[in-house]
Amino acid sequence: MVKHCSVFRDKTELEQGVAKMAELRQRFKKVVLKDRTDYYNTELPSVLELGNMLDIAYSTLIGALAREESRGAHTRTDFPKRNDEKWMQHTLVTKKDDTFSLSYKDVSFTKYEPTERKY
Amino acid sequence: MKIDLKIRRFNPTTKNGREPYYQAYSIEASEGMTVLEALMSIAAAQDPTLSFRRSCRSSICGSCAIKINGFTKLACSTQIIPEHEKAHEMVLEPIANHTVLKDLIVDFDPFWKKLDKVKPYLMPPETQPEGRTKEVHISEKDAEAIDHAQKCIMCGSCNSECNALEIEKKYLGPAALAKAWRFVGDVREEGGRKRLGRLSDDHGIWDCVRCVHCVEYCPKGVEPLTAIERLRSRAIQEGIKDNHGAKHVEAMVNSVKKVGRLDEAAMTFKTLGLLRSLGMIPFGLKMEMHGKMPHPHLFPQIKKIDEVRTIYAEIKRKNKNAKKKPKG
Ligand code: SF4
Ligand code: SF4
Ligand code: FES
Repeated sequence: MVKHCSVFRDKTELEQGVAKMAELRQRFKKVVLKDRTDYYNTELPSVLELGNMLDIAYSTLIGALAREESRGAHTRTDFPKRNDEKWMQHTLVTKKDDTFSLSYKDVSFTKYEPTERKY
Repeated sequence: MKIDLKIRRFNPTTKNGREPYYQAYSIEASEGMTVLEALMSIAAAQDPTLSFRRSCRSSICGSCAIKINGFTKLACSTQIIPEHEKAHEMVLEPIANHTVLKDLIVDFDPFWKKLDKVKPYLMPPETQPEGRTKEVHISEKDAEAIDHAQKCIMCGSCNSECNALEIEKKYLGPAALAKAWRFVGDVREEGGRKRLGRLSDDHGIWDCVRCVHCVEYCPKGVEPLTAIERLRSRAIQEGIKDNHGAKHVEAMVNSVKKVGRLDEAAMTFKTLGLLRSLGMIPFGLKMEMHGKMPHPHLFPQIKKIDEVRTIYAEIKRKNKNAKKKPKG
């Protein structure tokens, strides 16, 4: 993730990241528990955590790849401009039967309207 | 750099682990690596059955206190190479004064129960005292008096090394007492007197033997002993003196005033009273046999007793002058 999905990212890096992460998620399916006891088994939570982390990492990657603009800590070197017209939206990732899909939701403003950062 | 470790293992649910044993591991340590990182690398690459607690990895959550070469430390704030250079070995064990559950994991229930006992929350007055508006101004000095006690991360290192806790499991212990002071010493607190009464009961503030271990081993500079001493002097200032501890202090003060030194035999009597002192006779005889019994008649009043009394008079005068607000 540090290599492929840091603050500065671009299409090539992200695509490679998505492919690698997909592979890691496949490998994770074969994960085994070596500690088979049920008493303070600290390996079990770390395996569960690993699975969740891979899902989150994959979601982050596909979301970043789709968002062709720059915003805050998401700096696409290939799309350096912020694009409020198209991307003033939350990215939603849904996982169903092991496939991930993207959808979007409008941002609702209350008191403060978001403006571009100028520093 | 290759470092060999010995880690104390225990698992009451398996046949081989029922009796504690030491297991040897070996790791490749890099500069700056902490003991916790070493443990995590062993669990990840060599032996996933090794159990220990950790969370923040930056000495703020208080999960990872263990014994490193015999002394309680945070695994995440101890670098393995300098530690190994010092001790020429790397023996990791669970902390002391707690029941071991598995490997380096101990039962923290008694720790939390003791903390509960000191009611670790502020008890402000129910109705605002006269002249007090909504806000209570806290001066820098007020904050300073309790600041040290607020830094506790509940790691249990102090309790692990506490000598009083080792002989009396019911003793509230340094961590809980530091927390108690955090509230007793708070200017917004109202329940202070009541708290001090409870804290002066058996297994409270007077159980501490002042070995200073809790100050030495606390990774956060909490100084529980400082808190305990402040609680003790507050309790005496509040007139809560009907207990062995306060009586002992009074006897000490009076003995020095009278003869210029501690008359230990007479102090036993004053601290415990007649009947309980009689019970101490076998203990006294044992001390005598080992040449440790103090002989008050051999040490009469010191020569320059006048100087001692001058000090007492001076303290009295100062106390009178400073009769505003008692400070910590
Ligand atoms: S000074 Fe008191 S509380 Fe602190 S470790 Fe020693 S006996 Fe325990
Ligand atoms: S007082 Fe210090 S050693 Fe004791 S629990 Fe708190 S942080 Fe840990
Ligand atoms: S892991 Fe949190 S204090 Fe060490």
